[in-house]
Amino acid sequence: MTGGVHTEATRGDRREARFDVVVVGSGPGGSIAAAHLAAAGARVVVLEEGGHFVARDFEDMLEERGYRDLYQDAGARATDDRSIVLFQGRSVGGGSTVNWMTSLRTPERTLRAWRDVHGVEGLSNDDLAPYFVSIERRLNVHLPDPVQDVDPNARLLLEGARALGLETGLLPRNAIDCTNLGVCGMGCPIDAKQTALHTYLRDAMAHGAEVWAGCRAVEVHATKGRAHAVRAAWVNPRDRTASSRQVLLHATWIVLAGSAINTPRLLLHSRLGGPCVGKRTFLHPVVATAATFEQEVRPWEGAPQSVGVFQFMDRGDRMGYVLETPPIHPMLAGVGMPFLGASHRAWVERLPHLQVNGALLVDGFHRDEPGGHVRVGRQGLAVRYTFHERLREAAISAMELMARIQFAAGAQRVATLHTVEPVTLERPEDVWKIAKAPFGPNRLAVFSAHQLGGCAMGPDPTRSVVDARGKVHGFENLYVMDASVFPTGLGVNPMLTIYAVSSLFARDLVEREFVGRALRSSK
Amino acid sequence: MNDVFPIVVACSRAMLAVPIDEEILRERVNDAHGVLDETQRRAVRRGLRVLESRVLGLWTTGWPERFTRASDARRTRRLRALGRSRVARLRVLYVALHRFCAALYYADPRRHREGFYPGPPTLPGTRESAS
Repeated sequence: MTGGVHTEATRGDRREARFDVVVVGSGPGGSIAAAHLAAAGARVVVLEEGGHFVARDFEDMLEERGYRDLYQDAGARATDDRSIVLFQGRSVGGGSTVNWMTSLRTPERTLRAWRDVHGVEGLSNDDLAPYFVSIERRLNVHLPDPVQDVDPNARLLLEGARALGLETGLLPRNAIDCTNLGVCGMGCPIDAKQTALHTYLRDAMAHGAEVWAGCRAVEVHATKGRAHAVRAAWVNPRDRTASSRQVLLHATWIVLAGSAINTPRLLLHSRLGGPCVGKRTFLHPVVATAATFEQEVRPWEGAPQSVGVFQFMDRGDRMGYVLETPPIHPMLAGVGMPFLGASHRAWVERLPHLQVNGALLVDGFHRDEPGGHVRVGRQGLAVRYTFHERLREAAISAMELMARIQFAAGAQRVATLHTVEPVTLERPEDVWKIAKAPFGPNRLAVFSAHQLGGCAMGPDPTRSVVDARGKVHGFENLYVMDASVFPTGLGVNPMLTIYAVSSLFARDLVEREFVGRALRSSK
Repeated sequence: MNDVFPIVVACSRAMLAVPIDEEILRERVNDAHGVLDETQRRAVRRGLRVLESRVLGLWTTGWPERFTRASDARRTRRLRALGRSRVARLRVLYVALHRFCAALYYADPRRHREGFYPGPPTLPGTRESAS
């Protein structure tokens, strides 16, 4: 078998093909599943609707090219009312191509909630620890150097938080010989980031797996509890429309790893998976505050997101939050600050002196939080997410804290990202103004870089979509191995959890189905 | 998007308070047209037409005039009314138009010469590519 990346040019002539396993999606979940399955001797094809890009494609380091080529809907994906921008990767390597490399293990509190509230057994800290160790080694996860590798944006979070007596932590990341260019979100131009393409997809291809880039899974064919094929269409790389060239891929096992939102969409489109598909979608909604400093900050420079504040992740009955710092380039500044006219221009033009803190709101841990809902209708994909009181309380609390931290670090002024006009604070005593400002959809800029859930794990088919080993309820051979299986938000950046949980699922599949058995497909 | 281009120009000027070079903006709109899918293109065109409508002008500023014919002050008033409206759909319109105009303008590398961003960093020697 000769593995490698293929496109319509090399595989577009096929109308049908047979593999042992079809994996839909090439991000962390799909890549590690493909690596395990291919190493076990299975003939694997990985379908990826996005394109295949390498370091030289990223050398311009431009936001415009990055969002167009590497993000879902060219960076324009959002909830159905446009109130939350959904940054989600879309290329070979998926989210790992564009993320900011934060590599944290699943918090114990999260795994406890999965077991105690959602009945998920066999995913404890001890169960996952060997997977984390192996993955961290493969991805070269390490702590940044506290002097060289803390970016200027994060340095001010660190200083401000310490001045207030808060606990801070350096955030581990997956890179080799990183020179801290700060353009991780546009694809790494020096191959320092250890993406899925550099690691587990490479391993899978070394064992003969094929990756079909620019090929979108359209429908899963199944009858009587058995999935037997995936219908896929080649995609126009420019405007992302499906071409008329389609291929039917027969398989013994089918693994869906297109991520939260896309995996539920595929199941809904295929009318598979039961009544819970698309429900309990969590977004880790992010609210931010921007501050101006007298000195230049240059918030686009350095290793992004190198520091975090985690002590508010668990706030008991209230929604928790985690503070991190996004890198800010001109387009993100322009789009992210929804102010009108002169106010907008004034804040964007202060970009070199700007520092931005972001609070990731940890959703999904309380019984009265239904989460978002992925649906497929006549108008296509729709993601609905409700702004509720718990979210409002956490957002305000987080913005007040972030503003205090910014003043403690020496900020001259702090602004919230309210629509039309920011709430502008001149001193820490002004933070009460934040709670007085209107809160709700499209009244405040809210972002999501972590989409989770929609095919939740659990033992009960009436309340979940897959079991605690990723198998879709009622099916013998249809699996989900991506962030959509999480029954709650996580409280940390999800990459490592996706790798670990998917790795455990894939190993389990290999041990149950492959060991000691001849594979059923023709080779 | 030729039919709605004058609305994009007027909206960008009011939203961003920046000088707009119409030739460059036309280039950017044409590029965006190629990148957006059909649903997105329809949504952008529909949003711009609603912004332009006399009815919206009457409702938001009391003047039944087209957006492109309005004075700078009344364009700003109309956009502010959208962004602060109690009607959720009007806020959606403000946010969608703001993102569209801001992305068109600030994603353009030519903006980097204007002093608030020095452009991408210098690339060190690259290692062997992943593929």
